[in-house]
Amino acid sequence: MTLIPIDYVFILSLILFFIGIFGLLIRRNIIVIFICLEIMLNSSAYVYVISGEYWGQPDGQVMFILIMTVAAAEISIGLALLIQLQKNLKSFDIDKFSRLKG
Amino acid sequence: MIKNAQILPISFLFITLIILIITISFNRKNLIIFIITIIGLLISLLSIFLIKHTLFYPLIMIDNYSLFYTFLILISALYCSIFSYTYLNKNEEVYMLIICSTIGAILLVLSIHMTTFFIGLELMSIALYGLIIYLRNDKDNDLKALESGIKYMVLSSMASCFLLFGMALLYFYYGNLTFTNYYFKLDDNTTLWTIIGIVLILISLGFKLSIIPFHSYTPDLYEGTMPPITAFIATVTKISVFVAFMRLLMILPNITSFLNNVLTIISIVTILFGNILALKQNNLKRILGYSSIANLGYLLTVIIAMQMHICKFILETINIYLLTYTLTTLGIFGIISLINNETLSFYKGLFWSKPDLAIVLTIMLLSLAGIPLTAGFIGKVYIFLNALNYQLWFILISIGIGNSIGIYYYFRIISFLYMNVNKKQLIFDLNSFVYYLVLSLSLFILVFGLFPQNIISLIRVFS
Repeated sequence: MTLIPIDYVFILSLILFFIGIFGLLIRRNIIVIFICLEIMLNSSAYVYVISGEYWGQPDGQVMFILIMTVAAAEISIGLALLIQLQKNLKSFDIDKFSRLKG
Repeated sequence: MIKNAQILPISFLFITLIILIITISFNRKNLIIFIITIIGLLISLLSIFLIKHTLFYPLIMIDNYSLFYTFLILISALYCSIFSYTYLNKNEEVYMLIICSTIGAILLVLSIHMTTFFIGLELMSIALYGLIIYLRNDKDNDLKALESGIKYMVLSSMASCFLLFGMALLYFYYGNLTFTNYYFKLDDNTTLWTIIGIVLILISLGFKLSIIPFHSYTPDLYEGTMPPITAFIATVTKISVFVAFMRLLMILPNITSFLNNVLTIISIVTILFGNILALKQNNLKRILGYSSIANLGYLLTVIIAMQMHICKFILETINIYLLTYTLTTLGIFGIISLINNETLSFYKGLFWSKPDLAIVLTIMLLSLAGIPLTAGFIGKVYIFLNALNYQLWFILISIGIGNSIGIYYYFRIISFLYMNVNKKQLIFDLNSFVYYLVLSLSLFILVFGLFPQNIISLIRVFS
């Protein structure tokens, strides 16, 4: 049985991470921005799980569970914010926010 | 006798939080909630003095250094909740969120393990999102708060992702999540992934501390939120993240000379541009935002010095600088929340209508500018001595230039205060707590500036 080289794992998670960053920078829709944040969080969770497996420790999976809970809390706040956005501006476009300047 | 008295501050805060949640659900009286909050914070403040021994768990470490910052965080949380009591009169949930965020900040200060580091950081910032987007049924302010909240939330979550990814890469290389069990070494065996991990961690902490390439959200954040919450952001988050950053960097490898040069350039740019960008602002809170960027630039000097040789003097510098910065910032935001207006032109001729407030504000601004006889001068002297000891000449020059630019814009505000213009009578309640608190803060700053030796020897115990 051949093992997958560990570098491939890192390259995959780095690709996911960069998809998240570029989505965050390019897209203007707030829902897509939250999706991109989730992608970034989960790509790092993936590295934790793999390296926990590599060292034979449970720590990586503990970190994974913590990341899942924190991501859920963050997104719930984000959705509350999204409702306020829809109430005040009638749109999900964050470019319409340009009051603070200077 | 309680066996582990060391975690008393956090456990008292948790008890307060639970009591608050239960009380809010059936009794929505602002005064009662406020009194419970204050009592909880005071008890946990007093319980710090019960702690005698240091504690060393796998997840947290409690020594004199972290106790000092726990004390500072609790004091600023106390001040912020009092400010928000007088600023908004019928909103009870603010205190709950403040206490929740304070628990996160204390956990962050105590952490020596990556899980506590991450959980503390997230507990602090998730509660903070709620505080920033606190709507007040006032169309214009609400839109501002929403905008700054979205900016802060997206950027801060992105910074957390960077931190997590960096930690994951370091975990893969070292097989351990604690900060202390292993000494990082950057030798030839170090893979590319480890270096990427360290850089990612530094980027994320730069975001959290709003150091210059990552600073763009800070002034917007300061402008959009209410003054008591801005005081909380400017003191508690900055203190806790900086202290945790120090803990992390003490263990991180002696960063290679290339990274050290990058840090030097970043610190010079932060000091210079943080001060230059503040010159043309017309909003007092925006000016303070840029001034906090510049202040963290001064503190970065200490980190660069720490890379060469670590000694007690550096810890003492950080203690004194953060103490003076916290007290001064709290004082200024107290006055802003008392006057409840943040445009600079509103402050024209304040001296002729409210001389006492104007004098207190003058003392605070002089302390931020680092004029002798105030507390801020002592902090600046320590930073200067540090840069001199470690022969960081470029940083020394940039501190000099940045400070003199700083003096210009602080004195611009002061000159506004003493302008002779016809002034409508200001209406506010001078008998509130905030007035006396701000007065006592300014007295403390003057005493610290006049007799620094006593307080320095007191602080030396904690470093």
